[in-house]
Amino acid sequence: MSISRRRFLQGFGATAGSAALAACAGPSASDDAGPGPTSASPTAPGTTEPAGANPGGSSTDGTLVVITLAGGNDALNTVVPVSSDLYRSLRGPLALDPGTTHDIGEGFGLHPALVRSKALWDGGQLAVVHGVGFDGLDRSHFHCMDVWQAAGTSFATGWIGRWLDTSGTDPLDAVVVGRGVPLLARGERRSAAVVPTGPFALPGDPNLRRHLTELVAADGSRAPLSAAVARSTADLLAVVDTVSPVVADSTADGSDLTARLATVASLIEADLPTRVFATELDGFDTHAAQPAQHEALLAELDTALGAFVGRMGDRPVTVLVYSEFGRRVAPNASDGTDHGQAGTILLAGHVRGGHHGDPPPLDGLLEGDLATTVDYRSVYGGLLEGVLGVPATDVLDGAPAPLALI
Amino acid sequence: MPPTSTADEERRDVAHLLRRAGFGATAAAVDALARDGYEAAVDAVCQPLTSTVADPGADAVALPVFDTAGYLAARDGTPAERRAANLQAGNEQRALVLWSIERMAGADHPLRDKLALLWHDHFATSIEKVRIAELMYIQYRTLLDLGGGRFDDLVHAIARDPAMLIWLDGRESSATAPNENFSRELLELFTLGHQSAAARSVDGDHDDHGGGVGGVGDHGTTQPYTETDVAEAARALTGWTIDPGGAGAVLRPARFDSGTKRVLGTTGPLGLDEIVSITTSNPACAPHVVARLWSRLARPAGPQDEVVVELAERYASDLDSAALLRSLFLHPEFRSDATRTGLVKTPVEYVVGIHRTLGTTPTVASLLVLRGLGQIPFAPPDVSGWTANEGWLSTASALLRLQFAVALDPGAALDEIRSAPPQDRPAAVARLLGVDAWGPATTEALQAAADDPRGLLTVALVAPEHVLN
Repeated sequence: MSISRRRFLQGFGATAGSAALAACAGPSASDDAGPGPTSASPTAPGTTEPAGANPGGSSTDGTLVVITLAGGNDALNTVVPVSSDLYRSLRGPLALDPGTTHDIGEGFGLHPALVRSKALWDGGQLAVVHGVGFDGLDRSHFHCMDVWQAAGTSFATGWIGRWLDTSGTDPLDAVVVGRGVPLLARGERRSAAVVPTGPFALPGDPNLRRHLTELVAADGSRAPLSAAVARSTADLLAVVDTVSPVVADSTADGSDLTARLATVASLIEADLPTRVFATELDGFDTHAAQPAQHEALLAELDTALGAFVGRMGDRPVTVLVYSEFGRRVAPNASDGTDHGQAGTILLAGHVRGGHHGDPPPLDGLLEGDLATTVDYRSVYGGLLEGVLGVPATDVLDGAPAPLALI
Repeated sequence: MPPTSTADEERRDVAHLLRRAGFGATAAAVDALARDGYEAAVDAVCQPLTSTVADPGADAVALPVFDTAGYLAARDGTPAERRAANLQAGNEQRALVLWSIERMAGADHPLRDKLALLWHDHFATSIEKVRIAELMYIQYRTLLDLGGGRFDDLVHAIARDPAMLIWLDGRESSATAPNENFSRELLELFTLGHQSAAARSVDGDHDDHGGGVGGVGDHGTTQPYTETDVAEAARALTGWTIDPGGAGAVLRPARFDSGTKRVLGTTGPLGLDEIVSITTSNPACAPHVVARLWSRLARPAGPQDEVVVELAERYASDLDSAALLRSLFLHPEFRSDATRTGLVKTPVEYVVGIHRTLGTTPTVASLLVLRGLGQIPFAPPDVSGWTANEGWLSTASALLRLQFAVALDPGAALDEIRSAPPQDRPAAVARLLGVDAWGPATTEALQAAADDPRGLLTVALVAPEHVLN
């Protein structure tokens, strides 16, 4: 979308307008966003509506937590088509034993390590979106990750960054827990604040703070990168006092995903203005010796997710878990898998629990890969509208219809 | 203060050269090198790339002691032995990182290690998976020794490098089921580049605030290689393993796919040597490699940018990396304002730069801030290397730089600031840190802090002009 339209919407009071739009969306927003046959209607096992679900409308004051699984998560062994004989024959030695997976219906089971996720599923707090990808999944980590994070024609900004550009001016609107700002959280005029899991407080000297404030004062003569440096320090001054006591009290211990999500939880409980959090879990590029490595990673994800969603209780917090691609169906000779195409998205917390999307057929592989049946932008659109309460088109140009995920 | 004469301009350019072609230098070193003008300075800086002239400063740093045999034996032993092995691996890694940082801080000819670091970023291999510090040292030695030579010789050596064989699973790859990891990254990252990278500058186009992307659109350029090329090259790269006797990499004929392959238009019973020759002689290779080097030495650019195309034309003919660097530093664009303000210091450049200008020795504190900022030598986050520019800027990194600036021991440098009258201290600290000039806001902040030399130094260390390279 051009700059001028974005600025027009800002001046028009975009937030108010988009809340009205989102309330009209409702359940008529189709689940069937892919080219395949009718998708499975969302089903949660059990007959009661999950706590926190809101199928008749959308929450526009929700919080989104984005977890990027870096490396290409093997979706086929995460949400496993256990009732399929083809799965067993094609996967060979990497096929998981159905007796060890956790049944989630429709012929699928969760990887054995996903114990807490299974509990979330039973409580209606887990959703699975099958067959997610995009046209042009070319098995390159870096290109595919850029596409997922940019979600647009230019790789200069990310989708959350563009949401930041239209959503206001508070430097805490989006927070990355980790080390640097990923592309997804970089906008044109501002980017997410970054908070580490460790202590986050300015050195004590009050004179220093004064000098730093002068240092980062507006200076039109600065070159663009110099201005960016000044901006990062100015943002630090703006957020550190708010964040410092919260992080100091946080139960985060260590630097693993559980610690990062514990920091997110503390920040959410402090009722800060933050609407989007983002963090990452690395290591999913399992070209060799996959079984043990994949199990360890899914266990780390499962532990962190279970603890986090449990702690969030009734708060409208939605977790998005995605990866840059799935992996090839057949194993390689190193007891691992090579890069594939479509993957599976997990959503946890305040979600419309159950199956979404359209499982790619194992007898319809594309060059040995699972075919894409759902465009990833329809997932993003569903979250932009259902969690953040903004029209998908504010951020995503020419995207397919949003999925009703919340 | 902006230069007021040609001599001042030349000195400013030499300071810029010493930052980019190294890790910065003391004011006295800049003065000395600037005496004979910029071109002579380029010659002096580049000459050690193609000579065996000793580097007393770098060589004075003691090599870490590796006990690889002991580590491997313990790794397969009892739980207690395995724990000891992990501890040993960690110690050797730390020693190796400190060794490399001390070399960079103390080198008389820092371009060698600077180029080795850039190649390390290019062929990004991580000790996190390789585990054996000695193998990472061997790879770094290869980058040091061959980095200024022909690019294809360098790729030949890296393709056989034991650390690389572990990192990208080359040693797992056999004729019965080839592993595509190394093959893909060889084409996508090391030699030809990916088509989407050709359509944009490195790390997005921060110069363009008009909402569009600079350069040719994705749909206008063709991919230099296909998935079939990746798969076929993988077949040609099968069979290599690491000789347990310590002779490096060895080809095992039984694991090698000796059949006919077709890669990038060449057909035959191709092996590793042929794949390296085919990829490095492909027209996409020179622009891709030149774009990466220009982007890290000058400012972000893609393979189709004018300067890159110009430099790549010569590079394509001889793949001579030392000659490329010389042409790059002599190119008028290298000394433009856009280039001078075009790069953020990487964490290593920032920390080592402070050590060089203040004359302090790297310590464990230096390693800790490198870890916090996200750049530990020998441990890049993934095979595409480290981020750049805006990627290094965040609230978290701003805080880390500030904490480092507050905590460091400036040694004798503080006296230099103190000895100047307060109104001259901002200029004194600019000269001390090798910064050309402070902008208006920075000048005001420094003048306000001038009565407190240590506080003044802290503010200067985190000022945008110093955080930029």
